[in-house]
Amino acid sequence: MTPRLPRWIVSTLAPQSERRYILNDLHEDFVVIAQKNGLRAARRWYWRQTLASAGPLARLRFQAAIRTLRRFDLSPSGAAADAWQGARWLARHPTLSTTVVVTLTVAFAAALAGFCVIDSVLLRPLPFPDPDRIVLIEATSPQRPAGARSVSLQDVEDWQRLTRTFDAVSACTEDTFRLTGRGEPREIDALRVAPDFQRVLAIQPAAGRAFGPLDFTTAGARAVILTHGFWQREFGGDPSAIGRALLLNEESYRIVGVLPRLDVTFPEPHDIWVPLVVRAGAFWEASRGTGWVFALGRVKDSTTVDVAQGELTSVMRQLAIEYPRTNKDRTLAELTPVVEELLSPITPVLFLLALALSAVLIVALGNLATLLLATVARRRPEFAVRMALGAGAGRIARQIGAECVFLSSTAAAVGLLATPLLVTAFMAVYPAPLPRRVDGSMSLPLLGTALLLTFTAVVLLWLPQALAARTAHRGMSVASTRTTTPLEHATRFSLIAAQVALSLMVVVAAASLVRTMQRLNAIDPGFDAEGVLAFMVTPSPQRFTTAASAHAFYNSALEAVRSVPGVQTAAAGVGVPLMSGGWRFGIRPPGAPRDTLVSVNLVSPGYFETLGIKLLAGRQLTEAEQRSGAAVALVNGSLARILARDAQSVVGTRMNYSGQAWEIVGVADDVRHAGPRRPAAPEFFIPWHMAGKRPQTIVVRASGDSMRVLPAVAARIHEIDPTAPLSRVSRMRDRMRESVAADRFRAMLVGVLALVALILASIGAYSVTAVSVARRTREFGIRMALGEERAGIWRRAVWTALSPACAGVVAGAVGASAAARLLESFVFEVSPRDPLTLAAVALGLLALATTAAAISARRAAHVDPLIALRTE
Amino acid sequence: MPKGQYLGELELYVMSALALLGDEAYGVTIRRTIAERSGRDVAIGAVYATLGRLEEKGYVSFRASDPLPMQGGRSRKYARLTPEGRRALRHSTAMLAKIIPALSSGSGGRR
Repeated sequence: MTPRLPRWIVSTLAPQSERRYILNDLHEDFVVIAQKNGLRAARRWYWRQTLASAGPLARLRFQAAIRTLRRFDLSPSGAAADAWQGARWLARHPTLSTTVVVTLTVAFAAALAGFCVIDSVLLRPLPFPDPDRIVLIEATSPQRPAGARSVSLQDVEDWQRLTRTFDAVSACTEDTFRLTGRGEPREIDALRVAPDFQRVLAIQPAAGRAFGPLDFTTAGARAVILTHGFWQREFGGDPSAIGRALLLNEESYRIVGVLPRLDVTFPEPHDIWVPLVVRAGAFWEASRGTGWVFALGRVKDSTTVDVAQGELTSVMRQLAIEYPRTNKDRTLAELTPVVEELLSPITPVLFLLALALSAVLIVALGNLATLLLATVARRRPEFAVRMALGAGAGRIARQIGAECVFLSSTAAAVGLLATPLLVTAFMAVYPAPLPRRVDGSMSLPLLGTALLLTFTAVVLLWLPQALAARTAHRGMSVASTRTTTPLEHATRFSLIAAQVALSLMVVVAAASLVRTMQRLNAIDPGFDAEGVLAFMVTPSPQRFTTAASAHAFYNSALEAVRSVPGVQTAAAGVGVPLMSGGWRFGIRPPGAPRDTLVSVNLVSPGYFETLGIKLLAGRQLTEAEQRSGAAVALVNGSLARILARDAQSVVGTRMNYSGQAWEIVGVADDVRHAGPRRPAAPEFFIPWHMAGKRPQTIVVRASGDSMRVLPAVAARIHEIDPTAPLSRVSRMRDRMRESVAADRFRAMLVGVLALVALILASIGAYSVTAVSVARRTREFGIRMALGEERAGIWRRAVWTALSPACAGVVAGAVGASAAARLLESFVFEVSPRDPLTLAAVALGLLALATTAAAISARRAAHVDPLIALRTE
Repeated sequence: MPKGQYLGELELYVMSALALLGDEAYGVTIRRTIAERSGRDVAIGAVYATLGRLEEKGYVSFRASDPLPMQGGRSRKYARLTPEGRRALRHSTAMLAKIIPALSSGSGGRR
């Protein structure tokens, strides 16, 4: 017998086409020499031949490889025949084809819908000329409390005069108006805009005119500009609306223009624009000290945002010297491009969406690649026959390519059709309004993405198959389907490992987000939302002109509401959690470098009972104190901790606010006004009657479903003021749910994607084991015939899926830790790097892979050695 | 004859062997012929590598034989010269025949 090792060396080095003949020739000579000179001499000869042949054979092999590459036929001749062959094969395997197309379609449609959202929101330029030059202008100082950044209208007017680097500087503020005379009285959202606002945005009205200088004088008729959306909703897009009158707060405004359709949450969700002029009686609007407007500017083309910021800072310093009393905390200009301001909150969410979608897409493609790679093994006879009849490896590769193109482009076409539906569905479940309208219709970028996806899918599905099919005729045996090449093995290994790794990353993300949701649900917001109805109501400013009459309105409204059957308690407040807020002022905690903002709140008697807020120390304000001008106040726990050691010791002390020393008589529990995510801010309760004409929220605790008392409650209030609209009517419980809607949505979205990834990965583990078992039936039969236990066979079969899964888990764990940073802004009291979560998910995935492999490996353990060997 | 088409030493040996063997040329016989005529024990890998090169130049064609109808009979890859190969061999030997007498008389004297 020829020696084994040199034979192996020769067969490894020799090009595949020559291997057999070389070995045969060597064998022939070997036999002759062995007969003549003995076996030992023959063996020595064989070794010498092998070593001397190594160099030339390696060169030959290299040349053969070059020749194969040249033969790789991609010319159109015969392309139709190959495509026809491919199509016929797909038609004969409807289950496989359908599985591939459906999986690809789902993956493509999801990816394309994700692209639509990202493209519409992030990638397209804002609908203003040169949007990068529009900046939000804020004023700060090293001492000014974080969060207080707005400025006064007088500041903006001075900037308009003193700066040279801006095309225009303007200001706006949000307000609500009561719309009457058009059906039910309603509150509508308005943007009060200073002169030049339209020049900052550089937009022209779609119809009518922009505000002129006359509109900003008290002498001019009151003018209003409609946003495109409001014009469509209210007037059906009728051009004759211009010139008509609109009754706002029972005053007549003339419609002078309509804005173009902008599809951006700024300034679109507002219904109307009105000129921003200081209103009579609104003392804070006339004061330079109050920060109540947002300033916007358009930086000149010839300069940069940084230069403009420098100039504005020096102007602010100048004003601080001129008006030290009001402007000492406004010495530092901060310019933020409006694009960033609008899109920065949504960007991480969309990034997370894109990542999770890509991971699932790759897992799906890897899964399908594994599935199709397995078919190559079954198709060896077919390929061998074609090759025997003269088809080159290139022709086979082209046939497989045609199949992949067919599968992928079908999926892409269906996916494109499904994209608008998916986008609509996404918008329906997305909790918060996106800053821009999402366009799911066909567009060039969308088509390009679909093409790119198709191309990627074709390459990923085709390459492993083509490489595996290249050696399909190896052994020249048409019936043999039992050899696995190292390349095939490596491809399959890495495909499974990649699927497991990416699944692990998505599942870890989902686990972190779901645990975040649990944490948020477990947070005590400081009040009891169950059974509470809340709504805002503002009395008619014409009938309730004074602060005293407005207070009387709320007082009698509460009386009336309390008399409704089913109502247990009712109260009113300026600052009600998740509904409305009062104003804030800064105090300097001992030893702190800058001020902390304190919210001022004014609440009616019964407020703490209605919302179930606990009193930590002292007492509530008495009815008399609520009505009198006495300087008595309550604080919340957070403020108490700033002022004194604890809640008990703060009672009886005094605190300075607005030029008075207020006696603190009690401490209320902390309430999370902005939902469970945000910690409670310091709160300062002053007597209710000081709320004056400020809009208030009424909270009603009712038995059973709180919504049921609404009609009666509304009727009672309209008996007092028939024009007072009830706005933001909602169950407190629903508002609580809404406050964590974004978290719930993220958890749900990534959770669903994780589930898909898990299912795909387990299918992958199952199918890779099944293929391996089918291929190794003979090997298993021999092993069993030689006495290996069934359990041993089973372990071998499972290991084929488990070894890449282990590699995938390790890679996925590394990837998940690296990607954890991206999750940090979404999690709450949960670490995205939590080793326990990581370990649990890793173990879970391994268990899943083992189970999937074990089910499919059962067949291996039930191989009958006799039957297995007979198939030979 | 273009520059790249000069025959190497081993190529010349292999082609000569092919010319001598006619229809009986395959790895084993080629090696044996070269060994008998020149005394050189050429590695089988080198023979195949040379055959591969010659095939690329268009001097050699192959046919695979069926396994021989006897115990242990194996398939062989027979090689033969193409008409072009024959021409190239004739050309090369003619060139050598012209050069070698001059070489042996010129260098022989100095030795």
